Amino acid sequence: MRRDPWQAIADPTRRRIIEILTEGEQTVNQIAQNFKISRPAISKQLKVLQESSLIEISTIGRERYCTLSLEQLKEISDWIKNYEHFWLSKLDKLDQHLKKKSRK
Amino acid sequence: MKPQIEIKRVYKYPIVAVWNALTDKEALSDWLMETTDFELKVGHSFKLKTKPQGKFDGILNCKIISFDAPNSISYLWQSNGMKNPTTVNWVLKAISESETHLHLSHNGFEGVSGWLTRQMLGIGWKKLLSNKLKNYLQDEKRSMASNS
Repeated sequence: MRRDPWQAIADPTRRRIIEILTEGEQTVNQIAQNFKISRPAISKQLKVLQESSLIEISTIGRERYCTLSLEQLKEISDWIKNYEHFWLSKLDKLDQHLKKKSRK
Repeated sequence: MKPQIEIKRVYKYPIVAVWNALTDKEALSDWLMETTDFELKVGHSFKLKTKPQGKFDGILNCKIISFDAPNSISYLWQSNGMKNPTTVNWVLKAISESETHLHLSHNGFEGVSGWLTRQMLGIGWKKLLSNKLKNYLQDEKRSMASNS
């Protein structure tokens, strides 16, 4: 199942999990220690993040390790940058428009 | 609040010409996006249309907050991907009779993107940048440079 990453990071608990993982790889137990909510509840949130390709979970022995998936995060962070490009190209078009008008 | 996008430009045209380009339906359709219902009136809602792209349906719902001809205009700007509307502000200043300074700011990217920006400025992100992401971005830059 593929989930929408935007929806995934709309939730404060999931955002906090991403913040924790920016420090590096963590086990599910380590992540759960940061929250008052139950471990199964955390696991559920991790599953959402995994299904949105924001994190990767790998099982080694009895532990489950979580890491951030950088590509997906980068895609989201590019969003503002894209908007800036949009305006820069539109402002060039405005110049062309003004040139056209002044010729008339 | 610091604008999230801020661009300054100088146009070699009189302030009135730039102002008209920003506030005329046909002009906007020519350089910005197609609009059929733009009106220079506080509180007036209008739409800007472009090609749909991915999840974006191609429609910007806008509403004029304020204007002061020929110096400034602000409107709300919301696409289907935005939970809350953002604000687009245009400020013009005549440098001379034939030169106009334009200042565009676009802010109010709250929630998700605002959070991400803060993350990128935070310590956690810096740590991340120092290793994996840095290499990744460098590769990206290289591939972008070789494309252009």
